[in-house]
Amino acid sequence: MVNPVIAILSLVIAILSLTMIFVKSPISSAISLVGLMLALGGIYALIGAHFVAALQVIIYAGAVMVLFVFSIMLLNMNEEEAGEIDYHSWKTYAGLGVSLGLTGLFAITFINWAQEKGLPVPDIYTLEKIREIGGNVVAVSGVLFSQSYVQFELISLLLLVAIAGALVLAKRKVD
Amino acid sequence: MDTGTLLHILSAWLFCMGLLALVLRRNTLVMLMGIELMLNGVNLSFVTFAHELAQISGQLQVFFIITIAAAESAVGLSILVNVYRNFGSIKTDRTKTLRG
Repeated sequence: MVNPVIAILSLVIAILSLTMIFVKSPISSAISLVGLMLALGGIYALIGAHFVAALQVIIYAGAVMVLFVFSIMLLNMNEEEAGEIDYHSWKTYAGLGVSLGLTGLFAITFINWAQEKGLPVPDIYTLEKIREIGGNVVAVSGVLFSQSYVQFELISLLLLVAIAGALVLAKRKVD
Repeated sequence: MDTGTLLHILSAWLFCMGLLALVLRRNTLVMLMGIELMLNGVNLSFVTFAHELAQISGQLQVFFIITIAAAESAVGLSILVNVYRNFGSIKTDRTKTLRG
């Protein structure tokens, strides 16, 4: 049975994703995206992924969306910059059809994934086991710093390169 | 319908709505938001599979994806600011230097 809170949050997410696309001004799109990411964080917390929920709220709804709102402020766009959807073009309706068809296809694939070759054997990290270890964050960090610490170090290098790249790109050219 | 099925459908929906934003809108900012939406759909799929299979590595991948998405949006938005400086607009119809 579906947890009713998860069902309500899913409905909110579905509606907010539609408003993000079809609303006119970029700032309204950004605000709907913030709400969507907060609701998604709620879903993560409800199915037991507490660490991911915290990251979702801090990094996505916090840092990334602040960056988006800040660049909307910086760009100072006028009315016609909004890039409204052209409802007279057939390409719009083709995109809509392809997208809805893909949704159905992905959903059917995801729902039937278990029947194809039988259920994969579940790992040990059930909710009870995670509670026994000492919580989701302890379990995640245990795996992170034992099995995939190389990726962790590489990610720090990537962040350094991204900082340098963003600085070089956004800097005004001084002669 | 159980929770896992609902979340699988939601992740497919989120990915395709991100794709739709990328295809329909001509504003580069909203297109970048569409990319973020697609990444969120993928993250939800990872977490749901990890939940169903009693794994932890799916949540680990989400950690990496979120970090890469933050880096991507920082670089993408500074490219956007540069595009606005050079073309005076961020609509994709205006930036056609490479179209020939």
